[in-house]
Amino acid sequence: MNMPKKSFIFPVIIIVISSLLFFNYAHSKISFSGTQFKQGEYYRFLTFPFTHINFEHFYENMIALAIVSVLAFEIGITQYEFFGLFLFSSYFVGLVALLLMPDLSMAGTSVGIYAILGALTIKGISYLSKPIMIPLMLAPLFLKFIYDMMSSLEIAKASAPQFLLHFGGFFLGYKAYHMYYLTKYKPKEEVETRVP
Amino acid sequence: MPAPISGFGLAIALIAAGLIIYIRYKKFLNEKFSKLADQQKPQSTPKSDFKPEDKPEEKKENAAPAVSTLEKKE
Repeated sequence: MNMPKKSFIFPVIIIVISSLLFFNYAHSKISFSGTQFKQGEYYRFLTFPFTHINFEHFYENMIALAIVSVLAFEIGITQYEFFGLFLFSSYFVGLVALLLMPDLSMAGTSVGIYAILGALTIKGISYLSKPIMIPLMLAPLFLKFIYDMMSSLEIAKASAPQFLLHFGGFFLGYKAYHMYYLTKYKPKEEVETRVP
Repeated sequence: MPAPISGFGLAIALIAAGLIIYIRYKKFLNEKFSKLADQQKPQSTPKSDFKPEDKPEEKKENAAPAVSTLEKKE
């Protein structure tokens, strides 16, 4: 199987846009929530995956995005797949939040990052099996939620939507890439195995 | 204010970095073993003088009448 060319254009584009937005606009102007969207601020739907609420949120997500993109290309996800998956899952989760949780304020690249992690569990099967890969990728999410539940029920209630949306991003990334993988890569692999 | 989405980026970054190191190590080992296997191949597989005429199945077929002739002699 041919390995795709390693190019970091799209992750770099995401980091540059996020940095420009973070240092030039307050997150309150470009983050997304259903109520603001319904008031006519439609641009928020496009900008929210590149917006961060504070510096900690910004640098954590940028570091995670950079390292996850290296991992994605190491495993064999192409840059177009990476970017497509990132945008698709972020906007799909945004749409679900708009319909189900219109009061929730959304900002950050983390949903897209979780979608990439979901896709990595499909593509990375040649290095680590799924029963190890999936819990490993979801460990930070579940540990944070368990920690919140143990600290207090109110904190857990407040972080429950975060947990659901992040998990939604992971599941979307997993499912979308699985379907894409079956249509694009599987037929080629079958032909390669048949023809010596 | 409702809770915004915030990342647990450093934990994810740590896991991803660990996986990168693991995958690199595995690729390195695979390359090393495949090179070793290539080096050993010519030594371990000597040329055989196998001819399609000397098929063991055909020998069996030939052997069957030989037994029957022995029986006849007896």
